[in-house]
Amino acid sequence: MFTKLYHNKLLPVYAGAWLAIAVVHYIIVTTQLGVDDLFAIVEALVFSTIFALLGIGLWFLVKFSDTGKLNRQEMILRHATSSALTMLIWFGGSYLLLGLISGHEPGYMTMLNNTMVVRVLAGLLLYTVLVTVSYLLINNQNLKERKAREEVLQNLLHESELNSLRAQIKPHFLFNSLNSISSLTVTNPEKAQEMVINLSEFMRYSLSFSDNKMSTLKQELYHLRLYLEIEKVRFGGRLAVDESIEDGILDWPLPPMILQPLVENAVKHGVYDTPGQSFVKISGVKNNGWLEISVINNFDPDLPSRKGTGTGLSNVMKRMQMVYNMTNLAKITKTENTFEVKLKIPGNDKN
Amino acid sequence: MTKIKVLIIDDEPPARDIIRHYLSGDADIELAGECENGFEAIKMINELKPDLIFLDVQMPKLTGFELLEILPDPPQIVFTTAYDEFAIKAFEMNAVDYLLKPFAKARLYQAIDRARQRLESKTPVVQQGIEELRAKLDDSTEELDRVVARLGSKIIVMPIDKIWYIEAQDDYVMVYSEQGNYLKEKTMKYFETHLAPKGFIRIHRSHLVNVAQILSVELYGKDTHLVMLKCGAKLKTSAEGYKRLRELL
Repeated sequence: MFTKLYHNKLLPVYAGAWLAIAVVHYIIVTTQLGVDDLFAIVEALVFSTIFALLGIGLWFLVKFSDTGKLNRQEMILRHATSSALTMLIWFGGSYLLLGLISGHEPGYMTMLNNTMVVRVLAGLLLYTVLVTVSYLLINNQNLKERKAREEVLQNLLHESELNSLRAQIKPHFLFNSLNSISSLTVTNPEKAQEMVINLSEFMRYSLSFSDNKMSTLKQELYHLRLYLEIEKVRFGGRLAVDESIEDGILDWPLPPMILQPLVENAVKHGVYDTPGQSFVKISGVKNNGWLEISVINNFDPDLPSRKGTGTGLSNVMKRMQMVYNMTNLAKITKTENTFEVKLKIPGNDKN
Repeated sequence: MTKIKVLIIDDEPPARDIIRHYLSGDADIELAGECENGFEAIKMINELKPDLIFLDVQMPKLTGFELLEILPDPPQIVFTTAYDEFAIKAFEMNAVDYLLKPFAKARLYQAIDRARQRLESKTPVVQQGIEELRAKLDDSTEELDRVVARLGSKIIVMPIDKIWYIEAQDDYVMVYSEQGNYLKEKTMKYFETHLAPKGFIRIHRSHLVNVAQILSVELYGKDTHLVMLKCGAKLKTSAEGYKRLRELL
């Protein structure tokens, strides 16, 4: 696609250049060699057209010969051969054609014979210019193509990396939630219905979010609440949730589902692993043009933590780094029985 | 039919509710109690002596597996789990049954029927099953994060970095740790395979040492060395054990 466009743009320029050369040719032969107008026009056209056609061949020769693989000697040999061949076809062809057209007019043919060396030298000069320009253009074109390709590749890589980093619904959570729903259909059908709706909305959001589109704090909080409502039903009174968000920051842009893994972590190391009461505290404040979100949970200090720690967290950090191209946007503070993750989220110009 | 005494162990109230609901109205079942973590479960199993327990795998304090490990005389066990490939593999042949949540009432009764068969046949199938299960758990190469032991009614959870060393004692091993010394019904081989990736080294046929606890290694006899531990213990190495130690250090 790219090459085609490029060629289409290039071809008229090429034709124009040859027309200009033909004009110069005409001027030289009329003024320097005293050829008649008609003969001069015909020969300028013949010489230029044949060279122009050969030139297209040369373009492809340059394009499809892998210059990188040839050493200097091979290059010289190749161009010596191709220039000799070009001269032979170009001058020979023009000579024969002009002989035919002029009806082998003796004066004209003599003049052609006499100026053969000069013409071939001029032809070689044109050959050199043509090949050099071809090399430059093709190189430039390859470079652009490679750059475009690399960009596409980079984007793909970025996307797949983000895909693997983003939060996914954990099967454990899903099946335990379904089990709670199964139980509630018997003990409290209304609550069961509420939970089905919460779970559906939460899943819809987790399945559909895209990294190209920023979310807002408001939207994120809404889905965190859905998630926490579900966990609260699962664990009964054992999970307490506290939320304190400063006024006027609800429209702050942030990557979708960036807080979810933090809250999930808090629940996992809190209520999943701690007998008795657990809490998750979410707070948000604006500080010097940054949004600061903190997620705190308590944990059982007596117990060594089970495995699975940290991957969710490090994924969040990697994602933050990729989205904002900045490091140090997350801070972890651990006390004897609480764990806090604080994210610093840059605002856009509006904030 | 004799009544079956049942205990439900799960940390999620709705999960307990549904089992209770399924069991209600069945004259052949006596629901002896419910508990929400492994520590409570140990106590209740001792007090109530249930015939059958419904046991969740993932719970605070003690997992279902760890609970099973420290029960001296376990009742029939039906595992209930939401999603646990490991449990599925381990219990396919061994536990009375395992139920994947959410499960239907009919499926629960299928498990109860199996348990009843085992209870009535009175052959030690269960025990055998549990032994097989234990062996299977031993074979798995899963790394250990903690070791659970029991002393009377007390349950001790030892994080592995607080364990000093492990010593072979006839059919048992003694685990020496910051929290005390506890006998475990396991083999040295078991601890060696599970703890090697966590920085433990077998310095002798009868000693497995936490490398982080080593203070110094001193020449003792012609072919033996002494490993000095931070806790004050001095343990002899075998020739092979010393070689292993040298490679590591």
